Amino acid sequence: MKKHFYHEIVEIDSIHFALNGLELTREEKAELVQLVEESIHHAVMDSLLSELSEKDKKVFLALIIAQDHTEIWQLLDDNIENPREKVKTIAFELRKKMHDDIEEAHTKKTS
Amino acid sequence: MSQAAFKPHYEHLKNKWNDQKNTLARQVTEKHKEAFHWLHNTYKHLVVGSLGSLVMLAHPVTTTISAQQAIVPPKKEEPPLKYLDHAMAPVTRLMLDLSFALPETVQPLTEEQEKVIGQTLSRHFAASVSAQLQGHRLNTSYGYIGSEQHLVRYPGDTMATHFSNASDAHKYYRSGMAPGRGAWGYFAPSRAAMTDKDVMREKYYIAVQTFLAPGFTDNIKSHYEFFKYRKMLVVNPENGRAVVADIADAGPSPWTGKQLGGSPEIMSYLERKDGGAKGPVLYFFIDDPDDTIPLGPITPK
Repeated sequence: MKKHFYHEIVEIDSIHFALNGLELTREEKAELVQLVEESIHHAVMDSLLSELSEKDKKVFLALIIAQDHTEIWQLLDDNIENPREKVKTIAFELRKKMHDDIEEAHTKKTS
Repeated sequence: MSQAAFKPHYEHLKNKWNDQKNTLARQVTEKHKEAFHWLHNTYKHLVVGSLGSLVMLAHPVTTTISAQQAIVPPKKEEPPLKYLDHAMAPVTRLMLDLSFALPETVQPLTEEQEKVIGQTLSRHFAASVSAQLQGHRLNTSYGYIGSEQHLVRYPGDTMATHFSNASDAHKYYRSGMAPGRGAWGYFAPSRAAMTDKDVMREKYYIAVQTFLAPGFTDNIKSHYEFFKYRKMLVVNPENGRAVVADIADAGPSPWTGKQLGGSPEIMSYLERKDGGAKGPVLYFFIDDPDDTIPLGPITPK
């Protein structure tokens, strides 16, 4: 997973493991994993941006471009209550939904 | 249709997750479009790199910005750089500027990239910084740095005599001393003749691949004289730490996969490691004919 500022608290190992149970080529799996990462990123970003003022949103985005993880968390800690828990929860909910999707995909397999 | 060509479970999952990703992307950019629009405009004002580099850097968020054709501009535009200046520490601004200008992989920079980065570093460090100076340049200005050992400064200099205080000895003793002298010999003819400048030249030295410099073999003497103790700005673009260093040795060998080496003191300050954890640095010449910029750590203004 690309090293976003939240990479230490969000993992998608279980998704990797679940995808291994489907008949996928390495390329197909990589494509699906990328979609997972992008969806989680969008969801995390939306969740955090929604709690920041317009001014802090801009600082937040600029810090993300600069990949200054220390200052990103400083900004979030100063402005959002339990930002890490928020990120974990968002990622957990999305991951859970994706596991359901994978289960559903098993039923689509051709015999 | 064969199983290899069409996998319904894969297609189902791909389509579903792709739709979900697009929905989330639309949601985040629509809800926060003013902030994203500001980011987009800020990039334009930075005048470094290309639009493509911003998109790549901010992946996946800004890919959705560029894909959005109908972002409504905010009613009142804030001055982006002014805003950033107030919001960010100088070192963060440096990292931000460099992140726009650097390629994704560690590779020799193009002339245009070197020009932009030279201007960026000159601005941040209030010095004249460039990849080419007096017609001389190195094989690259962006490469992996490895650890060098201490250099013998004068005949008889040993690890026992090398450090001026216990703290330095504790931190840097284990790096050891190179078996031979640096490419330009001793820094001083004797311990008694060694000046503070000689001490600093060894302490903050780098080894660069002078032998791979364009035109080196055509005029070895000219290159040898130019590179001797030549001041360079060495920057870790990933944390913004920078050192004014001098060239005091030649190396490393091309087969090492590294492009330069740093003294133990430099590696420590830049927070760079050798081996599997090695990382890149920028190294550009500093034009300082009056020798006003001291060797050692330097912070962006």
